[in-house]
Amino acid sequence: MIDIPTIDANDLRATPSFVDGQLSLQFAGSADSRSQSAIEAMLQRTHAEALRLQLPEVAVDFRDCDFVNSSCFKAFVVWLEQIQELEASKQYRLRFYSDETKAWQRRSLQALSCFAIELVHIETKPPRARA
Amino acid sequence: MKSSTDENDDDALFELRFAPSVALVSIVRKFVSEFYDELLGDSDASHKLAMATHEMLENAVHYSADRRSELVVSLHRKNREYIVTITTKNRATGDRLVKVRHALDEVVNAEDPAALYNQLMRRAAKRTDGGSGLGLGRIRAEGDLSLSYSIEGDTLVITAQGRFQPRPRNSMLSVDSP
Repeated sequence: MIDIPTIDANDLRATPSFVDGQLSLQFAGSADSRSQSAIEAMLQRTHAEALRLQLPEVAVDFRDCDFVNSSCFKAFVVWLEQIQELEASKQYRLRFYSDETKAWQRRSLQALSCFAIELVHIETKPPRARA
Repeated sequence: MKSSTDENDDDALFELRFAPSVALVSIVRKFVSEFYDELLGDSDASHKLAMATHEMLENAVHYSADRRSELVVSLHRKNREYIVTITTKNRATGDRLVKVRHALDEVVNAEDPAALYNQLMRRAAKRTDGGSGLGLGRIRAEGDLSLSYSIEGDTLVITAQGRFQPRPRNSMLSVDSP
């Protein structure tokens, strides 16, 4: 059981899941300043849950995401900074899934990776099949 | 809006004067993305232009002194490439102009936009005022666009510009057109 809010407003949907010991956040749509506080709240709760569950990794799936503005991007930078500030034994990695057809995702995630290269793993995948 | 395929006036331009909200900025971003995707046949280039438009207009939303802003996006074909220019114009308070001049000078003059962007991210992680300070740096680092600006009185004009190779297809500005 995890206690992480979902987001479904202002063009953005973000859904947490916890399956087989893997905590994942799936983002879809566009994240602009209207979603900034909701994303910050979601990532704060995710951080708390990752620590409570002593997870080695959290997955973030951006494949269905079309845009993330700099304010929302900052929320991920702050999240990484919080992980970096933990003692080494409590740190966990972030595994980002990007869509191989969306070059902007690779660019944005690589910039994030440069910020915390030891904590960020980027995995490029084919687009998710549309229902 | 005007657009043309005339050999001597091979450009497209649109201009908006409005009081932007974040919701409207997102609508404009989607329009810019689809418009340039159609013209350039390059979804990545159109995303870069849409991202820059969004970041520049969101700055105007947050910092315009009178809530008004002007956006001009133009495309000009030169030889076998397209030059796209995005300009925002808005009035700002004196305090804001001092801060934005400092931020712009740093980004405009950066020799290594990626290194500066990394530095801006480190600063952003420590900021507690709700801002990120990342938008302008992102336009250069992720958008591969040049930036310039001017301040005339209380009016701030920011310009982003990029060069793109068109991908041949049935675009109204295709380089394969006679």
